[in-house]
Amino acid sequence: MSTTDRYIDATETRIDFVWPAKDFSRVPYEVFNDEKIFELELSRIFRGPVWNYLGLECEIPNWGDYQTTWVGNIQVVVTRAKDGSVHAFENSCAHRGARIVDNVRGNAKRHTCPYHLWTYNLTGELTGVPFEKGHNGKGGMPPCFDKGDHNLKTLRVATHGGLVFGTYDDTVEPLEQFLGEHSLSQIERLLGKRKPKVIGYLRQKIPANWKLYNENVRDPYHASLLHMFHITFGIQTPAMAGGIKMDGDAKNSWNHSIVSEDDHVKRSALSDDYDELGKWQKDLKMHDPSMLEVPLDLNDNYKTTILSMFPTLIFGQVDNTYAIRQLRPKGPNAVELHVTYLGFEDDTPEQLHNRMLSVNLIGPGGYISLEDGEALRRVQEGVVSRRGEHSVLAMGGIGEMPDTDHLIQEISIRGFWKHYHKLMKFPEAGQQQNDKGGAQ
Amino acid sequence: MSAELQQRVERLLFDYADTLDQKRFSDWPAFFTPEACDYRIVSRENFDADLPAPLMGCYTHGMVKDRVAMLIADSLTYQKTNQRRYVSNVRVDRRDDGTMEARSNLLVMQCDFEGNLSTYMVGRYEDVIVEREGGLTFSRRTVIVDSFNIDNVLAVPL
Repeated sequence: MSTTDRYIDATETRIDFVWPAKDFSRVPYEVFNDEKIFELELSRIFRGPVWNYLGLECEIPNWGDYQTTWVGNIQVVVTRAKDGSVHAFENSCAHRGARIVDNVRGNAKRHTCPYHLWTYNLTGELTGVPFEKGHNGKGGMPPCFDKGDHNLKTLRVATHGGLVFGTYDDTVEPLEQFLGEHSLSQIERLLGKRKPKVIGYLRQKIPANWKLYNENVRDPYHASLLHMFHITFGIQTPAMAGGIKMDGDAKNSWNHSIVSEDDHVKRSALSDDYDELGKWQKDLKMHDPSMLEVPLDLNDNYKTTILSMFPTLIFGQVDNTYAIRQLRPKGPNAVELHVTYLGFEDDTPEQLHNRMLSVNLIGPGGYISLEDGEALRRVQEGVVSRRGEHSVLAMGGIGEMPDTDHLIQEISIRGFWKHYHKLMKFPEAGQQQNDKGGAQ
Repeated sequence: MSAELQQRVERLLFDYADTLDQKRFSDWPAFFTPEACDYRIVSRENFDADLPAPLMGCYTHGMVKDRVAMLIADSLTYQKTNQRRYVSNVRVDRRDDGTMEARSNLLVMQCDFEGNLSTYMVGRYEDVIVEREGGLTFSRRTVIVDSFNIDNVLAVPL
């Protein structure tokens, strides 16, 4: 029995609810703040059959480059070896468990634990133990000690389109299959034609469960309601062309809105829907609208595209912002949103300036995205006492989970929960509570 | 550097902090030189690594006005805390072109509507200040935040 199996067994009996609806149009609130469920997620999801996003190849281009990242609550070091291969290992010494690397990124040809100077190569193999043979015939490790038994715990690494992923699981499907056709084509669209370059990091501590963020990015219904900026300045509106596409098992989703010549006319037609809401401030104008006038540099009229990949990766494009968002769960009640903001090697000074303009749309200070953290905070605080109750996901229809040619839907959120439920090995859904509202 | 100039710059920095603490957002743009100004909040992580993307970046006076226009119109949804800015360690130097360079430390504490206190932000200001119509304005104000893992939201400027 492996360590992971024992861990699962230890927590197996603690989960005592049945998911209320088979089509996942209901979500029990416990999943957002229960410590035991979070512990189970660490083993069944983050150490389970998923590919966890670890970073970008362009962040560690050279021999010895490394950076640290997170998989669940595990800190992981990602390295570039001499032969150009990428490796990932846990940042905890095989000897007594101390953290080895204590900064975010750098370059080193080997990694040495500061405590007793045990040394590892770039693939995580133990190469040096001081006084392994003792000194003057005294001390040292016993004859049975074999360094090969004490390598760092590694993740299996795969890369696609410049993105680096790692897994603990031997049975997970190949990375390309895991990502699915829409994810692959979008990664190609966003990164395939140009060489990406990091132009900044943005970090945001959201006081909410990591799955609430997964709901948020699969929820275009909220985009033009929570975010006044979208509707007032026409960035994403329900009247625009667009929709969602989900990959095979619906765990990943791609939602998109497309610019058309007559968007302003179609937006006016939304007045009836919005007037009562009091949200759309039609007289609000920007003193300097330059950030709204940046030409789309992919020339394909896709104004906003949000590609959400199970369990913790989102690749978002809003205008000319290209941002890799990674969720770093910090227990059940908090998540760090780590954003890697991208430009491209061949950006002109004007293109770079435009990205400096557009960054005001995203991140914790972004006119659009600053509100997501706030909405999630309110949910986390709102559901704290609601045991045995559930949220409602019925917008766009219940039952089947089809792709849509519109954005007024919550179907793709249900797709996330379907896969989550499967990986968590919860009891079969919809058998205990008969909720009339949810399709059985 | 005269004591008088030091005092004038400190007063500018304190007035600026008070304007934001008291949520007098419509007074904020007047602290910047209208003809040319640059206001940005950058993370220490990006600043030290020469990565250009700011957390908030206003490169014209119009963009400065827009930042607070959204707050004045109450068009953004964010947690409205009561903030207090503590500005200290102010050092002012006169530059060859007659403008002033000021550096100072910043600490922002905040309280929610039930009175719960938390530390919101720690960082420093690097400013270029000019004489204009008998007063002082910022032609450049860069806020470099050490606490760059932002406490959920950065709606109100620093």
